[in-house]
Amino acid sequence: MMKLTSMELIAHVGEAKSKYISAINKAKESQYEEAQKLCLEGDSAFSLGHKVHQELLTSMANGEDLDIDLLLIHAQDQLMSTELFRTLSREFIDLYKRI
Amino acid sequence: MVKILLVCNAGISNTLLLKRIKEEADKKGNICEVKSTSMANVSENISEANIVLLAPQVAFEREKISKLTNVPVEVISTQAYANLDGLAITEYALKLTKK
Repeated sequence: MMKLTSMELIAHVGEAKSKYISAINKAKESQYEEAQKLCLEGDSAFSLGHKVHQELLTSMANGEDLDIDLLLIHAQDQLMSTELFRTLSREFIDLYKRI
Repeated sequence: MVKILLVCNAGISNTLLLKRIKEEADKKGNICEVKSTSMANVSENISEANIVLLAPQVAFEREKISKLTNVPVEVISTQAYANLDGLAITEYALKLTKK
């Protein structure tokens, strides 16, 4: 059911996003090891979300009709913004180390 | 009457979950009231809540929200969120608010 797929995607990338943001907050407090650990936890969660997304892409490639609703659009949106945090969190940690 | 406040970032992802939680809570009788809010509107709604539950994507805001209230502020597990497990979440809320 598409709604559950969307929720699964939102849940995993949502967890990842929170990990990345928490990592940045830890770096701000100079707790770099903890920050690094949170980034890796974020990566694990993101990976699970990516798997779900991959299933959707495969369905699309097979010509299956995807039920595109606002929830799926939101899920996709969350995926992309988490991707952004994934990249930025590393940069922010390096930046805080430098300051 | 246990008043549960669900928080997510924009309110879209909580819509389905809210419905599921309400269904499960109603099965248990008239003991729970559930409301959903976005991060932007948390301060308006938090004073009435007996418990605040955060979606995974706003887990990183837990500390910030905890400062606004004395009631329990916890994150819904990724698993429960992904599966729209209204029952598990309702029972979790009831467990945390039991004195």
